[in-house]
Amino acid sequence: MITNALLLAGYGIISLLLTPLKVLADVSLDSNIHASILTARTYLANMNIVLPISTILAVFGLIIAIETFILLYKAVNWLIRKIPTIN
Amino acid sequence: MSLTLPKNKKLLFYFAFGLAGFLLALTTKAYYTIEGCPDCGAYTGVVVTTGGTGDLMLDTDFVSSASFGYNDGVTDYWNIAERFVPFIDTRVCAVRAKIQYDPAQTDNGTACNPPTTGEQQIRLQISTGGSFPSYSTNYHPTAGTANISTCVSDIDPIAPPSQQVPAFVWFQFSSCWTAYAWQTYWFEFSLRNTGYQQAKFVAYQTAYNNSVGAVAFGQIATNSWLNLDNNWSFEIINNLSQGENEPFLPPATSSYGFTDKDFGLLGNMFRDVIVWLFFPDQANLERFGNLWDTIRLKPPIGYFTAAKDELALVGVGTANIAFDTTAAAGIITPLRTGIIVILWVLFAFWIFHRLRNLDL
Repeated sequence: MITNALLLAGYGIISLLLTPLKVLADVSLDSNIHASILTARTYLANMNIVLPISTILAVFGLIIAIETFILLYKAVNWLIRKIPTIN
Repeated sequence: MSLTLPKNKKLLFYFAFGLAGFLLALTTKAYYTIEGCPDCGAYTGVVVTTGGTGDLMLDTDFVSSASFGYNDGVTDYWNIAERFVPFIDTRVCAVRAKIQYDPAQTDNGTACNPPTTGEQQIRLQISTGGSFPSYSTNYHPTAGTANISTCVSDIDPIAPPSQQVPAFVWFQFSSCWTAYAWQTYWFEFSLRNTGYQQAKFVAYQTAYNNSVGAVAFGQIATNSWLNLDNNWSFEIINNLSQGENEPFLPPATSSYGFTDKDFGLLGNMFRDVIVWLFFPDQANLERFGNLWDTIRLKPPIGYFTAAKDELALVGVGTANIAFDTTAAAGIITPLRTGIIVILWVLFAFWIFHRLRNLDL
């Protein structure tokens, strides 16, 4: 009951804060955007006949993931070194 | 005698006193009995009353004008819908429809009485969301799609008897359900005369057109026996006394994985108390998801959500070109396989080079 009451109170506050949004109309993007994305899908599909798009994306994804991990590792080490009592 | 406590203990006392009052208020119920409905049980009260008189609903009434006066040559029926947008989560267990004839109305200038012939059928359909009810357009109520049961024995929405629709009809759902706060629900009643072509029933609004074999859609005529200003209403009623899925009752044991077998002298008392105090029920968690569904397309969030939804469509679709000959396929397919192999080999070399020169 306590958790339910807290959740209910939280929901009430969030719902109240979001009330102005609820009266607004839904956003709809221009139909040309949807059409352009469908066109891009077709181009990618045609390119995929020769170029392995999924493999290219996988290789680039792995490279970016590895580089990000190395960068984060260095950033954490740099932060640790800033603590005076740790060398 | 005054209460003399240290300041911090006094605050604690006031807090405990307030909490006790709050809990007592939660457990207090004033029951409401439905008149003429012995099987409906004890209800805690009418949540909302809506209709021509005393509209307490958040939104305005909605009359399904697309269905007005429609006549397929065999039956007459008439739909009326109400939009229900609750302020808070609302348990809905029963709905009472009040439908009344208005004998004072006239039929093309001639005084007429309420109909006495034909078989009448009253049905309730519910849809969610949207700016209009799902069943408003040419909806023809059929016996196979009933989603309610009635507690009035002499009016069966599936097999109607040969009599007039009474002034009040109660509908009781087979199980209570939760109408979530700020969600849109449409309660649509369909009244139908199955007995006579051209029988004078509530759907009698416009003259039958022999040339087209039907009555055209249109607004309700002034000579209708129904007076929409005064003589209809809906009441949506909760029934917390049923005790199922009530927000402040313990959740079902199946939802937290324990068996319901008590043991020992105290049974599962402490476990049940802890569960009752701290275990959130599913409806409480689901409402956050529903809240997100409500605002996910509202500006400014909606611009990002819509863009994200569109970008999710980006991918390798279906090619609209094909090999003209099998010879072309014989070249391109191994070429593509070769490129895949080359890419992974290059990646392996890159990994090797990167690790060899790694400077952490």
